Amino acid sequence: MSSAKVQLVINGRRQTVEAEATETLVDTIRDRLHLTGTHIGCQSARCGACLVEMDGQSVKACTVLTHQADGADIRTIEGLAPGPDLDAIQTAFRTHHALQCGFCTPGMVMAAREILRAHKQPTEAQIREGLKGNLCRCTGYQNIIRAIQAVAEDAAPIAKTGPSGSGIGAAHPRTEDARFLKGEGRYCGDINLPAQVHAAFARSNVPHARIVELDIRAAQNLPGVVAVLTGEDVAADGLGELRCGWQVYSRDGAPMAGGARAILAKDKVRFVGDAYAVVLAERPEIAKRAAALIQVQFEPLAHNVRTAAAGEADPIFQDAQENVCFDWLFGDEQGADRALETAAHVTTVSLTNNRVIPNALEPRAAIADFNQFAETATLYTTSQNPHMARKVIAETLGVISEHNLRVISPDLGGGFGSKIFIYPEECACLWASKRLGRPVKWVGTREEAFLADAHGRDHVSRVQLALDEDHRFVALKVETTANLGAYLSSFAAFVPTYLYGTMLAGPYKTPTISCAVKGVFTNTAPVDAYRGAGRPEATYLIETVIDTAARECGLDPVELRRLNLIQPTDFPYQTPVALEYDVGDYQAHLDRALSVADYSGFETRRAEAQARGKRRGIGVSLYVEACGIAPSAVAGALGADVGLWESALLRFTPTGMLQVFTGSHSHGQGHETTFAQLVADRFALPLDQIRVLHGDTDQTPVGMGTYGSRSLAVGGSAILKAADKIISKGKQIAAHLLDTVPEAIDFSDGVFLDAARNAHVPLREVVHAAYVPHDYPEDLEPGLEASAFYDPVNFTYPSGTHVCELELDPHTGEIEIISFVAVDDFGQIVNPLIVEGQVQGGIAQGIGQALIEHGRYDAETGQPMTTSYRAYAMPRASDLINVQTETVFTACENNPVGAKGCGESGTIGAPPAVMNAVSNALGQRIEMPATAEKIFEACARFRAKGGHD
Amino acid sequence: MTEPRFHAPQTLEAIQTLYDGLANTLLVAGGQWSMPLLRAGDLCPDQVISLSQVSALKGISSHQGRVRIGAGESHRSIAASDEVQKMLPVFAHIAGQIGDAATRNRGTLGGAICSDPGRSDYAGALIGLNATLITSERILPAASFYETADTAKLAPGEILIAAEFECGGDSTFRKIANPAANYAGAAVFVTRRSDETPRIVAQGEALWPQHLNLLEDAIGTHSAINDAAIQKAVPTAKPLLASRLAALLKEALAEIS
Repeated sequence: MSSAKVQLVINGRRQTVEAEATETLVDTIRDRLHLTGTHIGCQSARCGACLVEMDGQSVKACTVLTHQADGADIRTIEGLAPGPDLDAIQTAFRTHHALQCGFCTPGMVMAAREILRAHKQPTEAQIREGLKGNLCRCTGYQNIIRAIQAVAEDAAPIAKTGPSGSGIGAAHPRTEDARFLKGEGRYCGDINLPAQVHAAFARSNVPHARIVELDIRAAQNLPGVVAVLTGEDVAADGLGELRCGWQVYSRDGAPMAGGARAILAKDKVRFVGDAYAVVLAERPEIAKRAAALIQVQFEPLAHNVRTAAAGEADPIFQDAQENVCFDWLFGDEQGADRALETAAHVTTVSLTNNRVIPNALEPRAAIADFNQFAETATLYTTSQNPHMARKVIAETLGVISEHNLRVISPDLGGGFGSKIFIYPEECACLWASKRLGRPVKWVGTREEAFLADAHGRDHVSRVQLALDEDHRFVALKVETTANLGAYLSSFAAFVPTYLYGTMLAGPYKTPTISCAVKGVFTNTAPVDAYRGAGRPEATYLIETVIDTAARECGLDPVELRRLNLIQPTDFPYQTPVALEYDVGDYQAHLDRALSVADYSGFETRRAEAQARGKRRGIGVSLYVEACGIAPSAVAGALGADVGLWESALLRFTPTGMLQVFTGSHSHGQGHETTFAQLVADRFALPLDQIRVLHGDTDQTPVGMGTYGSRSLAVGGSAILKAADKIISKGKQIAAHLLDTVPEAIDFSDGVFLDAARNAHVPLREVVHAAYVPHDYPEDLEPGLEASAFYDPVNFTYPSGTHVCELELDPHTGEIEIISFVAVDDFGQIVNPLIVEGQVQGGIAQGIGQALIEHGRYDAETGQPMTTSYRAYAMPRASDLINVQTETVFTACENNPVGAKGCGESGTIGAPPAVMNAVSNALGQRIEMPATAEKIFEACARFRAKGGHD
Repeated sequence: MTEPRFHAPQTLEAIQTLYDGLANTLLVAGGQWSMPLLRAGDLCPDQVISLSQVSALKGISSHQGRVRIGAGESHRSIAASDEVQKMLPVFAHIAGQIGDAATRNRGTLGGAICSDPGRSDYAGALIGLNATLITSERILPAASFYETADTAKLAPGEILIAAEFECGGDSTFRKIANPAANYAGAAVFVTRRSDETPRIVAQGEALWPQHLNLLEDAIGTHSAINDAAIQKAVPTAKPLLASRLAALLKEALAEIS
């Protein structure tokens, strides 16, 4: 190795490190200095996660050669404040909930420091400009901007939303924030094990081909390579295939066709990015170099990447005729057809829901450690549901049984659905570790994330809405082709069927609905759940066809909606698509949102914009989503392989501290705070005496993970159930201590009370008695802990109204969002600060899908065109505005918490609100994303027809 | 396979000596263009030569109405330079809006011109202001360098040392950025001395930076400068790009005239 010494001053300490000629500072900081607070989120110097200071200026550490930094003064996130302290910026980030998953946070803090060095009192525009080199996928940037403003204003660090305190409803800053702000978050890629080898995957660069010959000799012979494994090895070892966990049947009763995935492709590759070999080497760069040396001879097959042209490819799976996986029918198609024939008016819209790429800022990673003697293994992996990963990997691979496999999902840099699924890479690491007897580590690159993470959406649909002469909806008929990609991912069949067709009633009284969905294979990355999963697609469809109908009928789109809304007195409301909505007041959030957005004053603003040569539009969308996934009996009836309960274990330690173990996983949602708040009230404990633990299958109870806005409604309910059990046992102990019967005891404010006798004993003494049972009831076990499972009785049904106002420049195609208002009903809110952050971040993603995000493939070559942040546009601080969010309340009695779920509202409500505003401004509909090209062309068409800008 | 070596010479001569030894050399200034390629494995140099220590590439100076900017100066230092702000404010403005703050802290004038000349935000000003490029081998007008994508290349081992500008006149730069990569989706640079016809340079996605001669001529002959005249002068068949350039030009001409 041609390494040489470099002198650096790191966080005030002079250090000498070895570095190779082509080594960049970020690798030196992370791998040699073990300062893992500096993160790697991309390969194109476009994410800012690796921002550090070099001689007092922020630099992207991935763009600086370590040798160029010789003699420099480097400051990383770890060096900002001593010990456990937070500096002013870190404190403000915590106070204003300016971080969620924490992965971008160190870079954001560094960017904030640069902004505040440049401007003593920065304007919002200056802050947005100053943050534009840093991507955050969680927050929508709004609270980051607030935090920086607060530092500049030297504002007192007060929580900005809701009451203080630490119980239910309190806007308590997150307890988990400090570790992220200090750079002490521990992500999968930060973990190293002794004697580990590094994995790199050889991936197909063609969309569809037979593998004729694979020559791995050059790769094997590269010094430092330990092994090269291929699909042949997978088959020889008898490893099972990854399959979708949901069964969907076609209208003729046939089961789904095709879709199973070997963890390394053997006979053929099905999309660009499909892995056919894995190299294990002593160092990651050697593994990558060796992977590039694998010679593969492909025999091309006809490929197709277009959703609407699945039949054009050679069979991707032999048993899937015309590359159709299923042809699913739901609802009353004949009834819908009859209503369409006789309706006074029928509006027909053909639309696409664009493919988006989730882009959690932390790329996927895994490190597997198989103990060949004990036949046990630990797999660290980037998973939203480690228990599910354990089950599926154990069942599928057959290399280890479930009870011997420990899956740990540590801090996770965002998920948004993409980290729910079981992917080949982590399976390959585990299998390779068993074969080699050494730990195997893989950290995906951003390019690999673009190529091989599950993508989202990608529908082509035709929707017909029938209205009677009074403009009441009489029927909705939907025909959709859903792109499933080249394999069936874990939830892939469920998302465009039961998470979609069941949502087509929306908040409206449409008596007859039918939904036909053809799930098709294409030579693209697999498509699965992305934040919202099925519900955004349904809502976009409904809200688009309603706006179109209003235009066709000459009605105000809001009035058309109002006319057809489910009324508060209609609940419980049985939709024609299987769901029973428990409660809601859709008029309430509609009225409030219109008022906040000053809907009635819009025409004045439109006229004023027109005078400036701009076209202004306003768009409204309403949504209902089904969250709290899911009642197991319903899930089973819909084809699930699993139950969708959640479990919890609560344990008082002998000194009276409370540990809350949950099967949910937190990756930005703030469970460590929210779940603690749930029980803080119940036990009258301060938050610092409660610890929430998750993400380790050997430590926490079995669980079903985090997705579908289920954690609080289902996981939180399991926690409350376990709390009830603890209180019940505590009453028995207290009754003994107070010499009475348990029925005489009440528990409140941390005290067990026999009101009749005015005798009481505090919780702490009951805990002590439980663990020091010197004087203890004979028939009671010592200890004070309880576990509980909660299986929801129904879904929950959050709803909301989103209103977007924007301006288009007809000559440049540019869009400026002027305002965005969201008024949502999430039921009981435990921490309004966290809920507001979830809504802001979801809206940013929804705006991204509507305006700029699009995972594209070239139809002719089948090549992906968006494989870096230089090609795939994601919203940056400079692209967005501050959104206005409010909530209304109706009581959800479907779960003990009363929570409905909030995490997906933004990606559901925002795209149709934005696109309806675009249509309103243009006077015609265009497809998402509303790029400058499309807007410009629409304006040109308008002018060609004699219109004036 | 030999491992690459790193060098940080202080003189141009030392670079030449190193360069002559090995053809597969990566020259690195601010690293904004090359480091992503290096990290992705797209570049596998035999040696890496850092230009950061070469004093000949540093410095911003002015003399007799001309400003000289060393190729090794960062966008940030150009934007912050009193001399540039005073003598060539448009260039300070351009430097100050390139990329993002961290990119400006590291990225250099030379790196921007040499690594991706057609997409550099500096291109319009270099051409429009008739800048002179000084390299280790030659002195050439920026307009010659920018004649085509083929001419906008330095020879192996040739180092850009500085750009020199004649100051004076009013200039403006306007840009609509690509939403993903932030380079100029469309940009115009317009400059005018009191008694002269404006010089106008346009660039954009799939449009090599170039003078809009037709428009300059039309303005020179006092022809009516309306939308049609602008559209006609814009050398692209892409309607959106043409419209964007026209919109930017209208604003720019209004500001300059």
